[in-house]
Amino acid sequence: MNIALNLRETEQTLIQACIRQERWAQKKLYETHYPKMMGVCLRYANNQEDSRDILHEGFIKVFRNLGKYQPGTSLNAWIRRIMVNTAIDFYRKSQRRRTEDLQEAWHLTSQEADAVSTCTEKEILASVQQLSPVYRTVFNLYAIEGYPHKDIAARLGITESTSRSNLLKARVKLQGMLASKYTEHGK
Amino acid sequence: MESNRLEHIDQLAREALEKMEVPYQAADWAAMETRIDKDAFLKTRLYWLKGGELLLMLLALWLLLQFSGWQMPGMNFNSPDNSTAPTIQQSTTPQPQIQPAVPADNTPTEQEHTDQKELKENTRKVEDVPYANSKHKNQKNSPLKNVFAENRATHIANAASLPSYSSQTRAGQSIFATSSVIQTPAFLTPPSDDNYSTDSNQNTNTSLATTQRYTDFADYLPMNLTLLNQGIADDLFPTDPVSPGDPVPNRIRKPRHLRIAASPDMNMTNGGYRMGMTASGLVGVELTDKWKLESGLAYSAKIFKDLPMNEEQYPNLNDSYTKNMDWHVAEIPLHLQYTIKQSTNWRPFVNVGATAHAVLLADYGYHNGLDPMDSVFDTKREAGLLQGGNLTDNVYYTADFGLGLERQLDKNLHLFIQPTYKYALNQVGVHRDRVHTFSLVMGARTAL
Repeated sequence: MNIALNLRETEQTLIQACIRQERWAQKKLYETHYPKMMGVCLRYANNQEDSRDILHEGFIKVFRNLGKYQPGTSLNAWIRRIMVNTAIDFYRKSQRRRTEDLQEAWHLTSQEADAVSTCTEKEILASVQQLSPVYRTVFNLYAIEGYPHKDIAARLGITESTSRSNLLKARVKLQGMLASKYTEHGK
Repeated sequence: MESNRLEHIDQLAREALEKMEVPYQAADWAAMETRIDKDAFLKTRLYWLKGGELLLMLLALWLLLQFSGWQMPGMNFNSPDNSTAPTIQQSTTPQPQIQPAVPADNTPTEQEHTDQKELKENTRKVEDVPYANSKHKNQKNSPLKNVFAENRATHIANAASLPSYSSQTRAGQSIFATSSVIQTPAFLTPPSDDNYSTDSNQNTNTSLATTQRYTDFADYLPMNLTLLNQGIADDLFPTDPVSPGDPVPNRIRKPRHLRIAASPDMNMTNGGYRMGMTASGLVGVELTDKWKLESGLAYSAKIFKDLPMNEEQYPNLNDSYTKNMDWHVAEIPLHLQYTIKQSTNWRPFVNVGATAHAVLLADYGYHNGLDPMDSVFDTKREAGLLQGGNLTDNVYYTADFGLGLERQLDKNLHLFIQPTYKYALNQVGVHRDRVHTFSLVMGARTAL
């Protein structure tokens, strides 16, 4: 109990110092949340540079709006939400409609589907990054962040049916990529 | 079957990527730092923060100086030190009584005739004298009337020609009429760097009253001290430079004043208008004829009921939720006051400045309008400074502007009314509200 209180006081002190624009506090906050937030940004970007841009833009928003943070709630969750919103903003303009050949993707065998489970974290990340921006965003928001299609549609400015369709396409494509990686490993 | 396999992808990706962490790169912080330095919003906030801190420090320093007894140079009217401002010292010599100006010998001497002629040339008419409105003006036979006029004329005359006086006067003759035969004492000779005018037509020689000459002059003329003791010293020795035709001859201008005031407030937030009240006590110091500087302490009660929740902060909250906020605020203002015009007994003025507000007690309550069976306060929260709240949530600053009108009642007491608008410079409270206030300040001012 005492430890929890001390940690909270430390976090409060850090937040107050960040609000006062003290550089040491901003650096501390950045270092503390960098690993997880960079992981979030990597899922939404298709390269390291873009993910860094999303991360930095997100942290700027964090420093600007830290005064609105409600003490007592999870700071990590609050920053993560800002990062996700920033990622969505980042790729909203770069959204492109792409057509996919679903027939090819549906011809996966059950053995290949099971093989996907053996892929590593890096391979899964690489596969997600290879998706097109809109598929990648919908997949991240639904599969990892847990947003319903209604919210995804509202955030991305698309219809619910489009959101569902994009998710399906993303899954199919992802499965295909992971399966091909498994096949390469097998060879 | 296919859909199950596809959903399996979701679970796989979630397990692998949801808690993925990337090792920290120090080079990324350098890029982030550059980004922070370029951000205009953060820079502007930094300037406001540092500016506010500087203002508070200056305010604290000013308050410290005020209460430590330091006074602005040249404004100490009570100092016994002859090297600075003058004081009128009590003489221990017995006070001779004033005799009517009736010479024993009605025939003026040649010298006296010349003196009187000079006196008339340099004397302003009694009617032009501001103190014509004094209580003595209707006393036709007042033995003091001629004394006042002639004494004033003497003051207006060239200081260099002001004669010295002998304590010995000819019997039955006013001592003020025998100026020319007496040598000018050294202490009456003005120094070269004096800036008061020697023009007899201007009443600028009243600086004579503010120099040490009055001290010595009073000693040399113990008769004047009798007049002082009779409570008419202001007429002879005005403590402030009075403009010709001053309609309030009995006003006493002191370097410091106290203002006590109260006001009904209209507090405006993005959710609506709510009423409040403020009570204040301000101490002011006179910088010049027109400018005053004020600061002090105020208490303000701000009660906000049934305000909508902040959409930015709670985007997913339905519209039926409302909040109540009950604030008790301590305020420290720092204002400059400029007198637009001083006429008769009225004084219009302008008040500008800033105020630091600290929310000492803050009670928050919330209500869900969709369920009327809920109690008024579904949840409660206390977040003021004295309740464990932080500075960010409970300190805000305002830029203040007011127009006022003051009415003098007597020498020391003035009543005023002053509509004031306080524009909030930053947000406050756990819900980050910006509170602008319009106040109708009413109160009294008295000299200290």
